Amino acid sequence: MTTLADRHDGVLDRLVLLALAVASLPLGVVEERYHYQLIVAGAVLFGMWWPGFNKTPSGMSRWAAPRAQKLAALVWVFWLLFEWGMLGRSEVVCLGHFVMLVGATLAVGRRSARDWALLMIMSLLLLVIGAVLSSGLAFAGCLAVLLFFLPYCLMRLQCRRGVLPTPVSAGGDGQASSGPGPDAVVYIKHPPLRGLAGVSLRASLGMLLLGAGLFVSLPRSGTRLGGWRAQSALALTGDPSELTLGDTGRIQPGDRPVMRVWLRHNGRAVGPDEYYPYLRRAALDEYQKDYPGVCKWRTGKRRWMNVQQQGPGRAAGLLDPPGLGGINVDWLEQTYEFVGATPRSLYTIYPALAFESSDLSQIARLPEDQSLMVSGTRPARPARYTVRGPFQMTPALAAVLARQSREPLRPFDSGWESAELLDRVRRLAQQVAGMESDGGDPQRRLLAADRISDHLTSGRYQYSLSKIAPPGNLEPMEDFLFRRRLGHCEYFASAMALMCQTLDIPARVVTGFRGGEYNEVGQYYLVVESDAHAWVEIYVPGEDWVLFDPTPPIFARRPSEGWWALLNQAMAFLEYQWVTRVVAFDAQQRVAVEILVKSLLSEDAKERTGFAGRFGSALATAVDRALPAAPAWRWPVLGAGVLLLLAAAGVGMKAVCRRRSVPRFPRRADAVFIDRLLKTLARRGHRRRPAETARELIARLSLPEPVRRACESLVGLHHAVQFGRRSLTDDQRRQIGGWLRQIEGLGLARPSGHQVGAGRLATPAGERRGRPLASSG
Amino acid sequence: MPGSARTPSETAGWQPLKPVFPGGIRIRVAGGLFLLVTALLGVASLTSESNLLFLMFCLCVSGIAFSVYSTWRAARNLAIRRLVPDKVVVGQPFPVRYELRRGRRLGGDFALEVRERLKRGRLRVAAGFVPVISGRQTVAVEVPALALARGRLILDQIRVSTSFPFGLFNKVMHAAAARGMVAYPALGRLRQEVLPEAATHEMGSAQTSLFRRNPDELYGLREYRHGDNPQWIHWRRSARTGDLVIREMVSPRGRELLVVLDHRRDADRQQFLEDLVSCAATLACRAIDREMRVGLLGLSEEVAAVAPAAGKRQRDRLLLELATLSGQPGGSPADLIDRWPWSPSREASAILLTCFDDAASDALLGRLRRRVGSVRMLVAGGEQFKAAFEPPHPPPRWASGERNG
Repeated sequence: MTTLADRHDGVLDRLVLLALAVASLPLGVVEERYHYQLIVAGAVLFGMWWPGFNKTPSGMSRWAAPRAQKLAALVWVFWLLFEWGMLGRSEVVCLGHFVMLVGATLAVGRRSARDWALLMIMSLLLLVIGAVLSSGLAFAGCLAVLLFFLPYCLMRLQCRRGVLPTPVSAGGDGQASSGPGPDAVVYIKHPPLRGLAGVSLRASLGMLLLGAGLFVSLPRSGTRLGGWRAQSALALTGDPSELTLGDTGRIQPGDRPVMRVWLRHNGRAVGPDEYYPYLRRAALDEYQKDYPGVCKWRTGKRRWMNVQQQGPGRAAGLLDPPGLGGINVDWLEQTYEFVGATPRSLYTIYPALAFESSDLSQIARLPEDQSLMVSGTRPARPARYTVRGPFQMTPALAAVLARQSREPLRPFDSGWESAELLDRVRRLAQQVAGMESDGGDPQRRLLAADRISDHLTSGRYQYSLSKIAPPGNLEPMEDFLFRRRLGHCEYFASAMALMCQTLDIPARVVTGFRGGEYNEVGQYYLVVESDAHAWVEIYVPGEDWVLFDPTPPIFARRPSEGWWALLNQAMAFLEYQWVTRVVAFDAQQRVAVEILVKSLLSEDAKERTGFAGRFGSALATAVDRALPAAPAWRWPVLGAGVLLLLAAAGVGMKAVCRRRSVPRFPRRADAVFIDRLLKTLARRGHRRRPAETARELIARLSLPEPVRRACESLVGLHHAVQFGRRSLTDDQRRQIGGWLRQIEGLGLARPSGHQVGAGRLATPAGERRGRPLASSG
Repeated sequence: MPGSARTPSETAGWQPLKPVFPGGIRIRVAGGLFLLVTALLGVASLTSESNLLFLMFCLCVSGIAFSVYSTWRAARNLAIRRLVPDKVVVGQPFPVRYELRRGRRLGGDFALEVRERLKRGRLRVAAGFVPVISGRQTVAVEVPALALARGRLILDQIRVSTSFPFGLFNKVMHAAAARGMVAYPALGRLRQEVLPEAATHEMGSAQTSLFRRNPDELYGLREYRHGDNPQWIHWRRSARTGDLVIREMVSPRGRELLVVLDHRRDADRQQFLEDLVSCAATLACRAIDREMRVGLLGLSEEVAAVAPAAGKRQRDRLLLELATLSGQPGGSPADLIDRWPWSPSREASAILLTCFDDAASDALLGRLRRRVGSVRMLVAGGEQFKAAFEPPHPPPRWASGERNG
């Protein structure tokens, strides 16, 4: 079997190795174990070097390569067993590693066509594993690369499978010609690599369209939407571009909504139904214990946020660990309440199976899809609504939620608050507020709260996300207020709430999310994990609950600027589109696509609303302007025009592909003298016919005997160099030069009937240089 | 010389390619594997309802659909013809040229593999490969072939298959293009001089030729006699001497060599028989190269005889006779010696090639010595035979069944 290592170039090898590296990306990114990618990168580099090395295999490499490959395969099998059995990793991850390592081993080995096919299938399996583990844009990128790359690779493989390394006989000089007449014969002994690009591009596009059509048309139940990360991410992102109904207007960059989240499961509250009076020791401790291994927000990494992680604190760390094996429950109820940082704020949420709101005028729905909420008015007061969405419940989470529902939180009831601490806090609060009590006066209450907030944000207390463990039995609040003065937002909020309550001011801690980054590309807010925040609300008679944020402003994220920020926003928008349009594609979106198609096909498209309606309306308007005639015949005319355009585009593409698909055998550097010979003959009027080889040309011409001998020697040497992979010796180079000078110097008689063009010399160059020889053949 | 593809004996004979079975598509191993993976993907996606698995499954299905459609559309409206030499030599590769003609104007066909459907044994033809044929092109591909046994060979059916684009499915077309050829025996090498002295030309009587162009040589000049061909008058010499002088030509007459082949068949000595035939062919070719007049006498159940002559045509006659020679369980070859269709000259030499060193061979040798001047006997497998003749080399690697490319 001819191995691909014997091929002329290693382009295919390099491209497939690159595909392997690309396919390994999702695994590395999701798992964050980049050393596997380093291994693959090393294999790729080694594989790029290997074909050149293996072209002339020495005895050692011929002996070592297959044995090294077998040894590596054994090592990978043992690694699989070790990783699976000893390290306890999931089987999917172990299988992914195994596939990747075996693929890398194959890639650097002495490969045959069967190995390459195996490698392709392994890449596909790797992509499937990536699909299981990842749902982000990395997977989409890898899928796109492989979709447009694998067909080309496979087609090249098919076209190279039967090509001999060297031509069999002197049937042609390997130079294929284009544009022959119907009787001409073309010799092609090499794959049409460039011509395959167009074919594979069309194949990829066709497969993409067909696959997309299948993807959309497959029925779905709509209750399980990909991975749970995507579900919760969707529940927290809004699309302001849809917020054009009514009088709400678009979200402006200055609108920074603050959102509170709590959970209900099957109608029962599973977390504290009220706000925190202040964060208790247990919650803060659990935060210390659970968050470092689960949340990635310390690194500032942008990641789709998980609502459940940011809900009641004790549930935070229990949702995310993989491998728990989820069970499905019917729904999870999520309740949201918005309090605007600006007088008017709004937010949207979708998808949702059902939702409830005390004031439906604040929330609008798409008429086509009752479960899709796209708009809301800007509430003057806090608006609350509840969404029931699909949710995957794990046993661990169910246990935690059940325990939390049995233990409702009550302020000052757990007994840890010592009178000494409360007195100390009260003294501090009175000192800071400058009063012992507000006396029920709203203005004094606001003044006291302002002073306490200013005290906490004045720089005396430092913001830090590092792990803060109070020494001994010291309470976190005591440690924060009087000793270390270091903490994060929950410490600041808890401290202020506690200080206010010691002054008999009704105060509570609210956890949720603050801010979010406004994406100018997609015109929406992106709320991520790092936006999790805690703040304080003070009840002011006559003004309801007033928001205070005692955390120093260092917590606020500075908006990035410049082209890098724009690029980041564009990438985030792409990921958002990928997640919403593909990963979370469900029955509702399928219905929406159907509506879109029907709208495009229906006559009253302009009557419809939404994207389909706008698109259909624009199309109908354009048709009205172009063809202001009776609708009875304008659609056939339009269809004919579209068909004509498609045909013209097809013909144009065909012409381009045909022009580009002229295969050309790569001329070796030593064999360029054949071009000089052919040019010399062409200057004398002896032009090569289409599809005629150099040898056939020499045989056809009536040349003087010395010229014929020189020409035949040159053609023979060309065959030896070009196809026999031989190198020219110095003597042969001198001979070639002599022969060419002899041919150019002697001159050749022009063939009978040859006419010199008007703009060219009337006397051939050969006749000017020397005596034209009479043809003796 | 046989084996030249530049002088094809067949100038027409385009045969349309038709599917071997309805549709012409069959699934390959890789396709079965891919279908299995796709089915597993489908089950996984339906079970989990994960959209990404759905997407992968849909793309795999679309890949299969595209592959089936492309393979089904491939290689339609194709015609093929095969150009092979009439005469080949066993053990010497010869080119087989296929020309594929495409009737459709649009599109192209890729990765076409051309194969001969051969019965096992006597002929090997490598697979030809056409990477692309587009438009209404005619594409030629030459592949090496090798005759493994002498005799009349039949090329029956051409098969064209393609696995383009992805190698999942295969479309097989065939064309009935029966074609016969003759495989001459393989030529070996003469290690020592077994041929008689061939350089001595026997001069015939000087005479003038009737034709102006002939291979005769100038013997001398003499006076013109009545009846001589006036075209041969040497006018320059006649003008100088005053009398008509005419050229006298002579045709050289080479030594006569008779190759006598005792080709009685013996099951244990079948390979020896092939060696004998190869040796006879080698002797005949080398002798004709030395301008000797060579005749052949095959003695088995029937007498296969070619009268001595020289030239390329005689070589073809001898090789054709040797190619079709078959061993027969005959009786004593000495009894057949009298059934010569011609009488050899007394100056002729003979080389007796036999596989048997027995009384019948000795009798045959005695009979021969009474008819020709000198006789030399070579027994296949014997020391003299091995010292005189080196059999042809075994076929190359690719002819031993290894796939080409």
